[in-house]
Amino acid sequence: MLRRYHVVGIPIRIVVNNFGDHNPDGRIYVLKENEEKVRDLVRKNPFTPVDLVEPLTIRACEGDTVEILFENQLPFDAGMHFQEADYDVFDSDGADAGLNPDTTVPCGKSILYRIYASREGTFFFTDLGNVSSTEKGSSIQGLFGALLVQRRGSTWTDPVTGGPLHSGVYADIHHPFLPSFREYAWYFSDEMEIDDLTGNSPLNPMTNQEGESFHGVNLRYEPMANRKRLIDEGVVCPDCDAEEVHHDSWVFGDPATPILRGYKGDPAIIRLIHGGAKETHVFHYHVHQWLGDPTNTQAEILDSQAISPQSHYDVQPLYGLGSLHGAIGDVIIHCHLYPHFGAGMWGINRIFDTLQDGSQCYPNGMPIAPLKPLPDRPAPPEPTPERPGFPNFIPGKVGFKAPRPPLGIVGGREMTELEKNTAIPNARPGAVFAEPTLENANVVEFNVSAIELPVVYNKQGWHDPKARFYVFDEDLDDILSGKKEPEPLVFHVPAGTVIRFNYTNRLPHILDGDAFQLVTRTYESGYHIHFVKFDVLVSDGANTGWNYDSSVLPGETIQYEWYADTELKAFFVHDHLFANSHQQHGMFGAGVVQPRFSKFFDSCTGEEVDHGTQVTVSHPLIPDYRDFSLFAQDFTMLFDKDGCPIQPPPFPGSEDDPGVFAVNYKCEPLKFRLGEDCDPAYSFSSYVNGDPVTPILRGYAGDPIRIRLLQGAHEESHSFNVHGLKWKEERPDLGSHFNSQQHIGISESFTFETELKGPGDYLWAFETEEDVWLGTWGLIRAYEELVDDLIVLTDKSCPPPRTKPLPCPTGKPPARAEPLSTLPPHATPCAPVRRYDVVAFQTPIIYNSYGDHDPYGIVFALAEDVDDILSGKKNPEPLVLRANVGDLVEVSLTSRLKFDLFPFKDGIHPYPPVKEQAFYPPSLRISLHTSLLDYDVRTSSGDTVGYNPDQTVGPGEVITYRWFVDGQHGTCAMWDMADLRNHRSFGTFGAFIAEPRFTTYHDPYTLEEVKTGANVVLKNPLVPTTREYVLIMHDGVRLEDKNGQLIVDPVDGIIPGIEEEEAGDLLDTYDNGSRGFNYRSERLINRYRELPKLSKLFSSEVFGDPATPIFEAYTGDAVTFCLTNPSERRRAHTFHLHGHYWKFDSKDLDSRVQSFEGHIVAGFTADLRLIGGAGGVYNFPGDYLYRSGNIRWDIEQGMWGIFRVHDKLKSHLPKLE
Amino acid sequence: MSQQSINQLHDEGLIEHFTMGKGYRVFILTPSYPFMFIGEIKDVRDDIVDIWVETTHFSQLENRLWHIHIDNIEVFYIEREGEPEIPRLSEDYY
Amino acid sequence: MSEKHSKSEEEVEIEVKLKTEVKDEMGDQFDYHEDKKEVEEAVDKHKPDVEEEEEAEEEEQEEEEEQEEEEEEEESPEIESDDLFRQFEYLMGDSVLIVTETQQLNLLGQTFRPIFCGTVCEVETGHITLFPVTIKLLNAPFHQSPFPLSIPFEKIAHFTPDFDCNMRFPLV
Repeated sequence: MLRRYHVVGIPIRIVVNNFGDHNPDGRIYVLKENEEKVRDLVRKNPFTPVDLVEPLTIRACEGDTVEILFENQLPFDAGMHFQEADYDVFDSDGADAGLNPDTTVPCGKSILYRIYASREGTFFFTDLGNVSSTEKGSSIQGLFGALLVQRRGSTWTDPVTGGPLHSGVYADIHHPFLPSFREYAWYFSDEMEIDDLTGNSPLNPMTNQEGESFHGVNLRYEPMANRKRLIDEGVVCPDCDAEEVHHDSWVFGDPATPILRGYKGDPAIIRLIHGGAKETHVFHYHVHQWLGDPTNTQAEILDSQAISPQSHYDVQPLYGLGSLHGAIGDVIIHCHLYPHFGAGMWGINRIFDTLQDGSQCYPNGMPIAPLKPLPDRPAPPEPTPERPGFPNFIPGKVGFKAPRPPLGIVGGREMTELEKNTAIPNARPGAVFAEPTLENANVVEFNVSAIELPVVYNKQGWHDPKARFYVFDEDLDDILSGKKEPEPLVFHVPAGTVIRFNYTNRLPHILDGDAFQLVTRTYESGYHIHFVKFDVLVSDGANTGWNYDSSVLPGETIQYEWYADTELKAFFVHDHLFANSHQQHGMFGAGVVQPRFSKFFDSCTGEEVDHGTQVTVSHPLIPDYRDFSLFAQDFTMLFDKDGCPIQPPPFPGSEDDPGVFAVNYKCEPLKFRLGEDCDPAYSFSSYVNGDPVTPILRGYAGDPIRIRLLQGAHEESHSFNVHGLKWKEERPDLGSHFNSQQHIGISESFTFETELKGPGDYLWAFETEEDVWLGTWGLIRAYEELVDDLIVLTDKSCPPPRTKPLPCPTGKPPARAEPLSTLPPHATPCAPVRRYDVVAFQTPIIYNSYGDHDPYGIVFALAEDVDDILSGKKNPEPLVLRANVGDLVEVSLTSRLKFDLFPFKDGIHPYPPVKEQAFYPPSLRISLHTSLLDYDVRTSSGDTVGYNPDQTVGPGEVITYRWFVDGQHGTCAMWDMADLRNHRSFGTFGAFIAEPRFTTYHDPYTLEEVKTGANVVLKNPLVPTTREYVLIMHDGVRLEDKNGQLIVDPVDGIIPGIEEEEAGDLLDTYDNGSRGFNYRSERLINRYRELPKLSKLFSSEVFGDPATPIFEAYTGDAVTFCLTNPSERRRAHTFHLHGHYWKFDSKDLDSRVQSFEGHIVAGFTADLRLIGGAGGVYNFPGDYLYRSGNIRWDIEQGMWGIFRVHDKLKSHLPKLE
Repeated sequence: MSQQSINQLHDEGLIEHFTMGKGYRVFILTPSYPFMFIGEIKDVRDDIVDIWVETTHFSQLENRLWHIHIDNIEVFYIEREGEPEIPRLSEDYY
Repeated sequence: MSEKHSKSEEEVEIEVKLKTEVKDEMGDQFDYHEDKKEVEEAVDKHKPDVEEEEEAEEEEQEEEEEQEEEEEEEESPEIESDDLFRQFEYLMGDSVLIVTETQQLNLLGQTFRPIFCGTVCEVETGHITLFPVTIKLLNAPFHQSPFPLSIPFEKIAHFTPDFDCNMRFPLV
């Protein structure tokens, strides 16, 4: 089936909300048939949003060939590049890549792209003719869209008219024997240019400084600042503050951002797409859950999902709209990163319970547009005066804050007649309009309060004088009197439990002002909950749309009811009324839905408990386990012991990355852990510095554990790593691969189930450089012998009695580890041994042919390559080690580090910077740590942590690590752990690849057997001969140009360049540094200086091939890309390979197919086995770009390269047999 | 009667049912790739049903004879006169 | 509906036993089942127009004819000893929840656990047919297949009779 679309790229004014905020320089794709209409409408409505000005969303069916005639009316060369699609890269790539023909077109010209829609899903498209990250670029100004490919045999209609639909973000999709569903395309984007009504940059009325940048959905945003101004000016709601009514339609009417409309129970798919440039957002959808991978019924359940630029997911709410319990009302959908939420990145899923035929109005008189019922579902009842349907039974007053719910507030009101008519038969506090609870449920009741109390974060006296957090009422006295230390509230319930929750607001009315924040009247609060089933109208703990405001004033108590229908993970809880004001002070926690019939015990005393971040869970059938909850925090607003603010923002109330980082209200910054010898190699050692104040998760060797990973606050990505342990990526799916790292954004929740396989101290860390530097790390301690204050699991035999005293701090470095004295826990005694001799030393690294280089590089190399590297014969590459499953790997590491060769001998490393710069001199010790492999954590993890022996080496010393390859883990991360501040960004990383048994590794050009290398051919007697390319994506690099001038990326790489004043507050610390693949970076600015033509910058015909690896193959060759990110910044990246796709989980055939990898941060690993081999399913030859998906600031800064697929024999490249 | 013979009886019943369905359209779901077949039953030989497949997940695999192991069929429906029809998946778009 | 599900296990057991006994004695003529009406009513709600009802009537007639044939077959000694077959025969017209063996099925890319709920409308030696029948799709748990679905006996992992197909229960 052939389908045709004629698409035009046009410059257009984008009005982003009803306040007249607009982008005067917007650019969009639009169907040709709508071009004149949209231009005309925009001309006539200069300050009102125009529906057609939205990301172009077109549709096709699986199996279709789609011909897109692209016509360029933009003032630069442009094109359309389709992700996920099969296409001939010579005529339909939408780029000018390598040696391919240019498939972008200049203004006024057209080009025909032919796309094969081989699979159902989102084929995101964007422009590669102009990848400038500035307002002169295309993506950042709105030029993106998607081809949504439906299941075979599908048709679609307009949800309002029921008529045909050629484009649009909303559609009803029909199928002869699958259910009809609502399809909503939801495009996040960020950083777009915005002027206000007056043509100036919007100001924030609270700070009177420049407002937050654009963070929106479908090219709309609804910032709090605009709405607050209406309150300040006395137009609406005179007694309100701002944040508590930001989403309240009673006060302001509906937002300009998307309202996804449906009827209760309608099946739906939200096509979640990130069309933006920079941030990794977290999509959160109240009330609903979905499978993380909709093609795999064993996938993990999510209700929050991180999404990086130029990536996309399907969000298919389980049980349809309103979830299992059939909730009705307004369900907010938002980016959970609060500053983005506050800036306007939110919308509503509106679930009606009565028919909308266009005859009804909202309470403020605005007509309700018709909504066709889905044809295969019973139509909802017509509204009547007695039962008008949502929202017209709610007794609110337009212009004022939403009313409080009936029944729920202690001492509050009963239901009105209209409410009674709509209520469920047994309406009760917290469950009035939807029955959240299934029958035969177990009931628990909790009494919880929110309080404000100073909390001390570490031994150095860093503290939050206005910490706010939740406590069980029974703990109030102990916490207020200092007997109990505050921690995030984590309560535990078995699955199938109804939770009746009495929440009392004991917070002061005022959040006082200081260097971080302005005085805010946080006079009400609630308890919003994730994952469980609840009546969203009355128990959301929020104030959304036309719902009730389900929060309470100080001194009041509200009753909520939630139902935990099945075993879930930890579910996130927090306040939703003033979240952006005080959640970073600690207003978060979790409930954990444990297996049915579980009991919970205090791990120290053995007393039965129902809350705690560390508990022991006992169960009659499944093995007992230790349950640990960890909450990452950023924007943590602390003061030092002298009362000075730590990392305050430029002005109070600024959301420009204020404060520091913590875990569970604690932090252990490395600058306080230098010890007497001032050697960073012992910063994690408890011998030198004592145990950290951060959580030490305790168990006995052999104990099963579950780690509940959450993020409590507030805006940034973090990368959780555990050294020496691993877990299944999708916990319910035993076929999924192992991980020992996880990216996390606020409100996400992960459960890692594993075993403390041997005794010792395991390091856990949020392991980007700045996070660890500021103290987001701790230990998992597995005891070999009995300790007094740790109960034994009831189904395990008692550990042996203590024979030696527990270790204690000595102030001195520990004894050196002896890895050869033990075997890794899973190693077989007769395992074949593979040996590598590795040397760490300093040497300059040349990053590209323009002379950008790192004069102070520190690399790992095989001993036999050292001379060639030092003599300049070889430009170093990151070390890639390999071994086969079943191999025992012995890696001997020698340090040849020299103090004189470090750039910052005074011990302060100025660039790329971190917060809280401090004296931290370079260590001459070094180590090698790998993820995923099996080793004795006391000897071969490469960490000197806790009370483990020293696993680093000093100059002239050698250590031989023993690692056992206990599974087909593919790519494992590898890096130094001795000094992450002075080593990592100079190159002390590489990769370890675990290959199938009996594999041999060969040079791709000679086919001779080799020991190492980023580009090899794998031969195996059973598995097809495969080309394997290792791509190490890294950032935070310090480069100098050919004249020895420091390159301050990303600013120095921005095309066509920015003013110095603009650069000032453009970046967060973690955006700094250069970046690339495998110690190479093809920074586009160098090319642009030669030829200032944006669309040509990827062309090898013009510039020659890039310095980044060129991987070559013949069409159809089996290819695996091994992708890892060892270093080091917190800004998450996306990876995309043109024209190819692979299974999201390389181990699981049921997993979804995708052409990108998202949220790549330190510790990330993935194996991309290209479906169809080189050239994709159709085996098209040509040059395929591999690259970052971040327009800000990766692509300009050189994070791209070429995968070259030949169809004709090349003399330099032998064919695979 | 032994357990095995009950299973055999069920299998034979199923084969009989498919045999009776010769000439009718059938809808089949199987856990094995390509997961779904719609087509006409041409013949049944031992425990293999021959189907002229008009629709599967992928158009490349259609309009050809497929021999399907009856034991691997998880769910099916054989269309009969006067009974609900299996919809015909159309790819005639605007 | 709610009353039905508050019955204790014992009560249900006794009831099933009673039904089986009564059926043994009275055959299909005895319309013993209260809930059957509910099921039929529920089915009726979804019938969009009269034409289909007529079709349904025709179907019923044909079904009856088929049943007659089956009854003849029933005389063969083998079938009489097939308890599963007999049990399903008694359940004709009742709703059952059936879960089959495989981990997941795939309808044009939509994957789902094989959980079906519907009215038994045909029982033969090797399979059972349900219509109307709900496929418990994760995003549309009450999705009715537009045509009947037959399930081979040998693919049934487990089933439970007398199940209210409108009941909500977790699927993950």
